[in-house]
Amino acid sequence: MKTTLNTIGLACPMPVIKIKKQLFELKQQSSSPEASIVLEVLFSDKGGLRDIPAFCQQAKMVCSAPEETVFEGKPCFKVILSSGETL
Amino acid sequence: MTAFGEQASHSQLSIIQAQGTLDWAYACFILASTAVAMDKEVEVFATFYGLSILEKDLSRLKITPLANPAMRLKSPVGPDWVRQIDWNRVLPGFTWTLPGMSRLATAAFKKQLQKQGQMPIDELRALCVELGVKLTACQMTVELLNYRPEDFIDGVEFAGAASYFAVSPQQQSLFI
Repeated sequence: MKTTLNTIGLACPMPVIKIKKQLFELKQQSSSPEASIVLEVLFSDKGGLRDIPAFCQQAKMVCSAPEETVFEGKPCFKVILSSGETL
Repeated sequence: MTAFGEQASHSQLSIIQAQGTLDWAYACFILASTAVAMDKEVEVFATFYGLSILEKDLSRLKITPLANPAMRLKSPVGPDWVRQIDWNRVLPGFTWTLPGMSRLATAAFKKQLQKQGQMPIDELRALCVELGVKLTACQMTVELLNYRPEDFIDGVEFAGAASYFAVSPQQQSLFI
């Protein structure tokens, strides 16, 4: 199951903190510790283009290449994080 | 254990906060909260004017372009051409000694932070506390600057330089 986290409009450090919090909650809800977690993140903070992949590297997660998109009329970026081997 | 239920890592960050202005308070709490999200154990050791970031009332934190020539001060409101002006460059230095200038610069700075999607400083600090950032006040400077223990928020610990050095060799330290 894919969850979406909207951090549009938030500046550094909030996108990374919100991701960390969301991942923690998803881990707690998941049935087994091995279950793979997939999280879609929407963000507008340009620093996130580098920070979110860096965060994933540290958290041993896979991060998709950021894509430009529009959400509710607001231009933003989208990445998909996964705790599995691949996306 | 960290706030996120992870086993505490051996990776630690220590920030020595010696400055008591609003901009440096942001630098400190942004780095501290991010480091926790990256599974580091974080301690902020506040000394001298940096103690003000541990006070209950953060409304005293201000910025001033006075003696800070590198500060870019632009209006967060007004037409485009007005917002392009760096007031710290065009106005003579003594301007910032006039009454109310620090308050004006601080108001502009806060407005700019808000427009950028940044949290108010008290909320950012509360987040750091919630995430388990350890806040330590330097005992010597607490006494030197005549602080009372009740001036600080709950959870602040008091310690001296020896306590700091007892743990700092294994840490990454920043002095800001």
